Amino acid sequence: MNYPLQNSYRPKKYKNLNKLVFVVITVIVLSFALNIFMPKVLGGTFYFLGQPIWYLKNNFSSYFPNTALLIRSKSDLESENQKLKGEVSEYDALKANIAMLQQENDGLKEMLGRHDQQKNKNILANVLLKPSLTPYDTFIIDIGGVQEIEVNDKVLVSGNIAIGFISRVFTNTSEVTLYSSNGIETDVSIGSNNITLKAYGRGGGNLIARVPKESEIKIGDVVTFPGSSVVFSTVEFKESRPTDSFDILLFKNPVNENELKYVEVMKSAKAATR
Amino acid sequence: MLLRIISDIFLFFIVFALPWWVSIVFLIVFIIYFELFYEALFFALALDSIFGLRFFPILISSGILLLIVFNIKQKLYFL
Repeated sequence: MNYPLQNSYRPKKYKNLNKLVFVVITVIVLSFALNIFMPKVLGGTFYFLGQPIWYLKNNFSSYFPNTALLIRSKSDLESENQKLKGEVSEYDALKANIAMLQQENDGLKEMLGRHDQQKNKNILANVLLKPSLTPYDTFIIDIGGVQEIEVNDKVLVSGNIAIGFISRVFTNTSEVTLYSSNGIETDVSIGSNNITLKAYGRGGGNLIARVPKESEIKIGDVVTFPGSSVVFSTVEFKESRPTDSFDILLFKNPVNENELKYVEVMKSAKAATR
Repeated sequence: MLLRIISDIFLFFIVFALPWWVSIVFLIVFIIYFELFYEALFFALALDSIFGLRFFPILISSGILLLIVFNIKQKLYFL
């Protein structure tokens, strides 16, 4: 009778099982311990390791933005160029108007003796990582504890539009969570009557708020932070049901997070004077 | 050995430069292909840390997958 020969490697390989179990359990336990006792160490280390790759990737993609543009006809480019020039001149006029209003606003604040109290310091930051390399509605910027960034500092675009806040700070990097992130509650002020209410993030750049039916909020009203001139968004949609005593307001982030390259971090007045 | 080192470098770039699901696919492939791919734990930990996942789901899954693949490979032998 013939029997199959036993594989001589099998018993030897079994020795590795104990080693493997030991390594796996040790790594998991150490990771949990580090996360509990030194929560910044793991994130900080991997952000530090990834930083050169992210810089390289951002620079590389800026050199080759869109190859499809290279094969467009000159007449298309010419017409688009004209259109964009027109838009730029419109924005220039708008910018001049805003600057004038800002100046007037500063003058009025100074007259009321409130000019310096509201002074904040903005720091420009490079966006290193965006979704889908980070969870949706979050991104990573290249300034952190070294620049005295603190958790909850506001993150702005275009100087005056708040899109999120600092949620984690590492040595040279920070994580920004958008106000539209799912589960995030933000106090906002809407309309000419400055109705203060809570806006809830719904993910994907969208926010929702409920407002009593009697309020005179309409589509296009500016959403700001209570007691601040920082703009949050504008009301995009208002849903009114006859059976409900509240109206539902929908608004979204004014900028697409996937197109962001730079943001500003507004250090609070207290942090800025440190 | 050289293939393994090249794969490690490749996976390092994948984890930091490409979306999470691409990294996970390569991680699974390498765990199955290489014998005792301990490096998977490092890369899984990197993914968990970058995403700020507090309970290390990718690390724990990778550890379990490593054990399962190791056990299956033990039972697979050819006459």
